[in-house]
Amino acid sequence: MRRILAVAEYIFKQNFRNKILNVLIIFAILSIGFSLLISELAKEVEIRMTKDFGLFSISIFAFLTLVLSLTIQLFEETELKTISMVIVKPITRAEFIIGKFFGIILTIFMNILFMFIILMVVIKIRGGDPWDLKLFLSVAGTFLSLSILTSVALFLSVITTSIPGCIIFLFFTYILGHLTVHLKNLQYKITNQLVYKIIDILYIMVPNLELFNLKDKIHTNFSLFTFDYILLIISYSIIYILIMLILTVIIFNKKEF
Amino acid sequence: MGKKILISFFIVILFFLINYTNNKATEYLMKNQPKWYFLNFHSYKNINHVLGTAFGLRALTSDFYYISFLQYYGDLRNAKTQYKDLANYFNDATDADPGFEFVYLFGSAILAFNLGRYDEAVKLIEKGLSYNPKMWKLRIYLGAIAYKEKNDKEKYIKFLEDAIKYEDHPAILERLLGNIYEQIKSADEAAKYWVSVYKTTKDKETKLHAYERLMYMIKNKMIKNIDEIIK
Amino acid sequence: MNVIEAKNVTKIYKPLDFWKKEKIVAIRNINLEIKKGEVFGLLGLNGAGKTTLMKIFLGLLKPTSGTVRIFNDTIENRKIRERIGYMSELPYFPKYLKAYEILDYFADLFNIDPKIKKDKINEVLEIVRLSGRQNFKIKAFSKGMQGRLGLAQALLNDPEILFLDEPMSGFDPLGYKETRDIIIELNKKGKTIFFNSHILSEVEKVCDRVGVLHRKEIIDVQPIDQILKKHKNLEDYFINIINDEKVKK
Ligand SMILES: Nc1ncnc2c1ncn2[C@@H]1O[C@H](COP(=O)(O)OP(=O)(O)O)[C@@H](O)[C@H]1O
Ligand SMILES: [Mg+2]
Repeated sequence: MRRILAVAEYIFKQNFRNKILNVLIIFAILSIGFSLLISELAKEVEIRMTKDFGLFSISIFAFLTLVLSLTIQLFEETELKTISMVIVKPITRAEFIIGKFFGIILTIFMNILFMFIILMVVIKIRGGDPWDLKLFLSVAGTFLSLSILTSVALFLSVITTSIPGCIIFLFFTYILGHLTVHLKNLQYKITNQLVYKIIDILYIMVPNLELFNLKDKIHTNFSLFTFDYILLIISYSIIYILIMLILTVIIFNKKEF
Repeated sequence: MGKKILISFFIVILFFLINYTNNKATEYLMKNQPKWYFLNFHSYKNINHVLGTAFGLRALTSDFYYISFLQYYGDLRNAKTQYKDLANYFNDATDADPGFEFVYLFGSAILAFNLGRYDEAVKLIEKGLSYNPKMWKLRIYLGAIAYKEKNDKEKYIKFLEDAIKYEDHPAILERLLGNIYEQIKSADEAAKYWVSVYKTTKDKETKLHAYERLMYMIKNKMIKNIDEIIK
Repeated sequence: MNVIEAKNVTKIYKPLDFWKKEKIVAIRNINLEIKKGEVFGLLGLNGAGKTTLMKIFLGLLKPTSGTVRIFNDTIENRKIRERIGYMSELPYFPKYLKAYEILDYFADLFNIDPKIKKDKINEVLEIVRLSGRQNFKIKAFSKGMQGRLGLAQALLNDPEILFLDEPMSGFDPLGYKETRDIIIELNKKGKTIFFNSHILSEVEKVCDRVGVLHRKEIIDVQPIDQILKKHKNLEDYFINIINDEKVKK
């Protein structure tokens, strides 16, 4: 346990010391400022637009946080090669991977939290209600989907050592993850058996990120924001992450340095 | 060896669990969105829609259409064509985010009460009601439209008065009602109404409009009990 | 007593790109025993396979065939890894972390008691002469200083055996001497040291025994005093033995 925490703390520290993340925060502030500008255009729905733009910025910057933090880690492992000195320590490789996972999601969590607080302040200033449960759940959904993407990123990073390859793949996972529900919805109209099967496979393998995309459904007034649904997607994310981490550890155990 | 079997077994269980939760949650999601929310074989025609879906920013896409609508509607050159594409903007916005309820309200109000395009307005209202039958505000509009078509002014006004009692009605209705009052009621009553709009409206433009109307009426000495109305 | 026993160890690297067929044999049929308390120097030209052999000892690479026993157990065992220290070739550390933070991380990985952690870190910093620099970021460290930090992290757990891969390669001549002193000092405390080097003058001064790895195989292992009886220095011996091999082939 202590070792897992040590790895997580180390990665978290490293991410925060890298000025790239500070730049991210500045970007977040700018983009929320931009959301204010946009809401000037459409006064009657300015709260809505402030929320939409803010939530969008949060998810994009959180994704960027993941990408950068992954880059930093991969760089350290492939270029600095400090990893060989870590691996010979009395830490199991599983502990190392889990620590890494928590280090990255802790970074993402802090960033999201920071941006969320700014967004709440902005909404308050604009006269909206920042203590909206839906708003909170949308942000939580973003965090869950990024936790899943983090586990996917770790998996990708053990099967390839190419940093750009890893990022491009992650990006496609993000896109596909938002489309599988739509594909599944179209499936019954498809007669070609092969395409039908491919959709099934994609639907199972690719993380179903659209489930966590509550920010796009925040304005519906009946809906998804029920206890049952939230419980379902939390279970889904935990199980998906578990599977990914197990596979990652299995491959990582075979890896040579 | 035993460990390997155990892990494989564990993964298989997880696999079933994930499939189960995935299906359940997806079902839930599908049930909660109207059919048009999902991409179909014609979606490719609207690239913004597809991109918005792929990047998970449908709500923002919807906002984008709303702002485009404002620009379109604000551009006087389009007045010549009677804003003929107007309904498309509302349609796109509500396709991208069916939950953008204000668009149904605002859109149908403009289409019906400003431009007199009842068919398009009714279509939009029906889309809104099929999405959320509980948007009774839309039913009020529907009533207003019906009476306006029949030229039954009194009932029409009654419906509009109902409509603005509810919060988050488009401010355009307030202006609309005031203009009608000026035509059919006494100047005093109209002025009284404008004052109340001036005091309560959330929309800056409407506030300004109410102020201008009041000033206009005062200048032309139309109001009898100025002191009583403006306290 | 032997701390390391390697039997018939062979390592064949998989082709770097999956479409290529040729496999790279890095080392072949290595048999080697390292005795407790000795300083063992492994010599060899660049690309001879020294790093490969050390990584196999450490479990970073898996031998294609053959076995390695360390403390009469396998490196997979966490308890065994608690007893070793390793410094890689040319260690680099993340730029924005402080030296102290890096050691703190490694100390946690060793599960060093939090109460004595601070003292321990200061102690190893003292040994590698980085005491004043503990709160400097790595950005401000030279290659040699990073090398010393690499050595420091390997000493945190008071290892019984220390693996050093080219410990002097990034250092200046003063660094050579310091490293040599550190090795001798540690050896006095009873630690076994296994290291690779091609700086022969230094090896000569610290080693008890040397092995020569040439063309993927160990061609000779001898105590240093025996070598010095027959040759005027280690360099002389090394060049001779490699030339002899050439003649044989
Ligand atoms: N990961 C690897 N994949 C393929 N070949 C490798 C790899 N690492 C080293 N080699 C090859 O193995 C041989 C031995 O390398 P190495 O052990 O690093 O030698 P040394 O440390 O003695 O300089 C070299 O020919 C090198 O090219
Ligand atoms: Mg080497």
